Amino acid sequence: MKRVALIVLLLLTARTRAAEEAQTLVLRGHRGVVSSVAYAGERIVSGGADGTVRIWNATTGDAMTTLRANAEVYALAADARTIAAGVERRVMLWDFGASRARWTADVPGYANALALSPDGATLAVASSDGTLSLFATSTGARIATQSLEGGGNAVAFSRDGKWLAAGGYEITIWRWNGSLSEPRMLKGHRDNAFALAFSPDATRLVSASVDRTARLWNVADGTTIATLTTKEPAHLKIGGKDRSFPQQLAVTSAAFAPDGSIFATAGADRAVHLWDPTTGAHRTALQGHTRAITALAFGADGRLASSSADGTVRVWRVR
Amino acid sequence: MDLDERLVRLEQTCRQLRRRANASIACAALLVIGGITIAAKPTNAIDEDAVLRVRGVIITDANGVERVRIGAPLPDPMAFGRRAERLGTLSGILLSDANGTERSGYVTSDELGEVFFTLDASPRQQALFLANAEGGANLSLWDNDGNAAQLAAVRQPILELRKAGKAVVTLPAAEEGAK
Repeated sequence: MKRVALIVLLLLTARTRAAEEAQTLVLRGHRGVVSSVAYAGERIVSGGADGTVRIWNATTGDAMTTLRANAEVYALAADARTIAAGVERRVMLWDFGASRARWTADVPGYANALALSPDGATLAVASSDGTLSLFATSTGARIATQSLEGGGNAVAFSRDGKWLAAGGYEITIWRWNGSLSEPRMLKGHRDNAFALAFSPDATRLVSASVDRTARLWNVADGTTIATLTTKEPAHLKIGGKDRSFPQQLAVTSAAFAPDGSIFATAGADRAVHLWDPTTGAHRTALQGHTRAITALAFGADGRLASSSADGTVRVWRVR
Repeated sequence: MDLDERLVRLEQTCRQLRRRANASIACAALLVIGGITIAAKPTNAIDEDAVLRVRGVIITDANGVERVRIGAPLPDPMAFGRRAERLGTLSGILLSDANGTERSGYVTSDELGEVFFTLDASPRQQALFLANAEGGANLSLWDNDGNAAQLAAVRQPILELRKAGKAVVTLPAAEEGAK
């Protein structure tokens, strides 16, 4: 019995140490829930309930600029030139270096998910009323509006720019070439998907849902490759008392590594989970956040940023 | 000391006394005005009879996360940093967890006039205790696996138990209820 306890202790210690080594930066400055995070070249962008969009140096973690949205920020999308934010029932777009938004556009519901096309020309917005809105980033003009069958809480472009996925309870994938075509429904989640991410080769799509699962989909035929659930941590002894934690909690975020070797999910269990994209096997869990994780984003260098209701953004080295 | 000198001294003393009397009156006047001003000014003391009349009160925790809100109306529900659309307008009290996700409400509905109390998992409703404006009430319980229990009194008593989405107990039975 003592030997088992010792092995468990050693394993826990090793896991904690691994997590500490994996974590490289903790970005503090937001007040309240940090709802979103994105990489923009050498910068990390975060937004939250405090009505600010903050820009950080991705290497040093230094705060660079704070943009005032003056209302709750639910989602972000960024590239090397622009930052777009979902702010209540509108979208704001800034050029890097500018303190005033270049344009603002209304959407029919809460702007809960944003994605920029790889060429930076189009901004996709999924809103809570179940609408997908597409905007030209250059002018803010609305290009198209599409109704989403199962609500709108998640949206993603594939890295090759050929696919767009969006949805809530149900996920729709379209071919994208400046307009949407060949829609295909992905059915399986029992509650809202809060995040979508394509693999770099666009053969896989991962969806994170508050139904307590993440799903790995085959983009070509729309089938589920794996339904991912996390079973840990289960029981911990804290302060001399046994405390039981729910084994499955809402999954709110997902991201694919730029080289496609791994993908990450995270949510209410406060851990970042890393998975094998071929088999859907669980590789490891990174602990550090003290509240639910709300969003994940990989940088080009393979580092992973996570935003949380604990008011921080953490940056992880995942290989 | 001759008479003239004594008169001069007396006059000096009189002038001094008059100046002191004027100064004393001025000080007394200042004290009275100051006292009145202080008495009229609001203080930090709690007025137990005061009524706070506002549309909403928000209580946040040490991390700045909204945990309690009293409002008329209440905002749309928040879960993990995103908002969803609420069906109808509600007023009352909301409780949110440490993630800022709405977990409970004790509210009235503007449109239907119901009053209800909800307890939610993160983020789905698990318990509802509701009274209709026109009479009748029900208690509903759910889990995440399609299990549910409902006890209602709306024109007749109703009990329904569902296991994995399928009704296993329905009272009164369907035919009985139809009579």
